[in-house]
Amino acid sequence: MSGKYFAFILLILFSILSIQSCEKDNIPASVNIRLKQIANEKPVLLNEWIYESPAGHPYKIRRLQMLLSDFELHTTNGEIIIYDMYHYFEFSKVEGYNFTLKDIPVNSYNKIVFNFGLDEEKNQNNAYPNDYDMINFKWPSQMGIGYHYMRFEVTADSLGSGVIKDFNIHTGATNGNQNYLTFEIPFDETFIQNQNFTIDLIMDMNQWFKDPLIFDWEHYGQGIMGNQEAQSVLKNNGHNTFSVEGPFLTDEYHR
Amino acid sequence: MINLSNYIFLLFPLVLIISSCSDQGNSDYHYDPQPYELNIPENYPPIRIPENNLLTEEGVLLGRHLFYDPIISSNGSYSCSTCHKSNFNFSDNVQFSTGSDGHLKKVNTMPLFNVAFYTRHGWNGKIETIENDVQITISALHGDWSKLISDLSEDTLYQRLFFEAFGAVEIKPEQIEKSISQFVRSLVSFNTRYDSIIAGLADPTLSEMRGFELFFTEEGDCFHCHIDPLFTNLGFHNNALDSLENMDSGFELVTGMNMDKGKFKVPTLRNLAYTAPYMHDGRFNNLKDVIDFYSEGLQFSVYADSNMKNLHKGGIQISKEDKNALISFLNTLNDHSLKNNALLKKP
Repeated sequence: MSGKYFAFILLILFSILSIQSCEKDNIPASVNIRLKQIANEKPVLLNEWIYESPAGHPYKIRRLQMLLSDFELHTTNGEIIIYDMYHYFEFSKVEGYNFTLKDIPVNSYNKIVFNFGLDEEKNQNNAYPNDYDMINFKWPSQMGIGYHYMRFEVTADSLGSGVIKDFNIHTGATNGNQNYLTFEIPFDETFIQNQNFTIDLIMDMNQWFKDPLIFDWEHYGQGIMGNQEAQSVLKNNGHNTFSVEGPFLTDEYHR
Repeated sequence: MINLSNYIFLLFPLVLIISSCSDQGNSDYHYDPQPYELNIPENYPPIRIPENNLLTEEGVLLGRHLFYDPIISSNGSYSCSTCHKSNFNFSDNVQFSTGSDGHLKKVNTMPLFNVAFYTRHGWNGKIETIENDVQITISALHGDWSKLISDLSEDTLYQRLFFEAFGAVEIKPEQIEKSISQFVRSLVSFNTRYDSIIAGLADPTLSEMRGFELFFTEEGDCFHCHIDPLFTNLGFHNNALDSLENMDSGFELVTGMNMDKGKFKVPTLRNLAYTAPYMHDGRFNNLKDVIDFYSEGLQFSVYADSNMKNLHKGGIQISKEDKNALISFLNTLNDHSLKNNALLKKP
C-alpha cells in the first residue's frame, strides 16, 4: 500500500513538473529590430562631409527621418505573423533606433516583410495621433495625402561648382500616388523558442540614388515632394536599400 | 428655578461648531470646482495639462483675476497683462517690453494663446512648464512671496476665489502659480477665416488660394516648420536669420549642443495681425519685411535649417504678387474674436 502510495505521489509530481515545463517551453519569444543606416559603406553620421552620391556629389547628411510599418515574420512552412503597427525613426532620437516584435510563436522563421512608408489604407490624413513626430510628418493635401515616408536632407557640393546647396529628398504619396515600398528580405532559417533575437535592418542611403537609374539631385532640384517623376525613380531604385543581418541571439529567458 | 450650571455643558459643542466654521472660512464660500472645457477641435495635437493642475472654472477665474492684477508686482504697477496685452492677443506691440525694473527685455514678448500645446516655453525653450514660467515671472516682479500672500489674504475677494478654487483658506505660492497657469492654458485660439475655409464654411479669394499653395508646397515651403493646425511644428529651428557672426545662441543654451546654435522656437503664425513685431528679437515690424526676408534675405551659415530653400541665393525668390498672396493667406489665420472675448479680459 505504501509503495503504491509513493508511486502515486511520484506520478503527481512528475505530471506537475511536465506541465510546468511545457508551459515554459511555450512562452512566446520576441525579436528586437535594430535600425542602422550606411552610406558609401560608412555609418551614417550627421554633418560630416564624408559621403559622395552616386551622381558624384560630395555631401553631408543633415536630417534623416522615416516611417516603417506593417512588419511580418514568415515561417519556413508559410505561416505569417503579422504586426499591425508603425514605427517612426529619427536619426537624432536614439529611442527610435530599436523596437520589438513580441509574442512570436515557436517556429522556424526565414523572412521579414515590412512597408517603407504607409500603404494606401493607412496613409490617410490625420490617421495617426497628432504627437510631435507625426505632426512634423504630415504631407500637405496640396501635394498628396497622409504622411511623409522619408525625409532625407543633405547639403551637397554641386559637382565642383563650389555652390553648396541643400537637397531635401522627401518621399510620400505625391498627388495620391502610392509610392511606398514593400520589402521582403529572407534570412537564415532560425528556430525561435524561448529566446530573444535581434535583427539588424540596414538601410543604405546611396542605394536610393542608383540602380537602375542614377538620381541626380541637381537635376530634380531642392524639393521633390510635388514631383511624381522623381518619386517614381526613387521607388524603383529603392528595392535594394534594405538588407538584414541576423537573427542573432540577444538574451535568454530566465527560467 | 433653573440651575444654569446644569446646562453649561451645552456651551461646549456650540463653541466647537463656531470655531470649526471659522476654520473653514466664510460659510458663503463653496468648494466645488467644476471642470473647465476647452472644446479643442478635432485633429489638434494633444493639449498638455499636468495631472496636478487640471483646469477648473474656479481655477481659471482666479487665474484671470491674478493675471490682470498689479498686486503681483512689488511696485503695484505691473501685472502679467502689462506685457501680455489682451488687445494684442496676449502679446506686446513693441520690440522689447519694459520690465518692472525699467529695463528693456532682451527678446520679443511671445503671445500666450495656444501655449497649452507646447512642450517647452520661451524663445530658447529654457522653460519647461507654464507653472515654472509663472513662478519665475512673479519672483522677478515681486520677489517677496510672503508679502504677496499677505496682501492677497487680506482681500476678501481673493479669500473667496482661492477657497473656491483650491478649498483652502491659507493661500500658498503654488496656488498662485497654478491658477495663473490655468488661465493661460484657457487661452486657445482657432476661430479664423482659415478654419472656416477648411471647414467648408467660407471660400478663399484667388489671392488667398495662391498664398495657400505657396505656403503648403515646396515653392514657399512654409509648412515644414509652420504646419497646421497650430501653424507651428512645436520645434526649434534656425531660420537663417543671422550669419554666424551675429547669431544668438538660442536653443544651444538649453541643450549645450553646438548643432542647436541659432535655433529658436517656431512661433505660431496664427494672429499675426496682433503679434507684430516679429522674430525672437522683434526685428521685423510688418509681414512685408518678413516675407522679403524669406524671399531674398536669408543669411548663410552651416547652422541654417536644411529646409531654408535656396539659402545660397538668399531665399525663395518669389515675385511681388506672390508675396502679396502669401500675406493674404497669412491674414486668414487671424482670430479677431480672441481680443473681444469678455471672459478673457480684465475682470
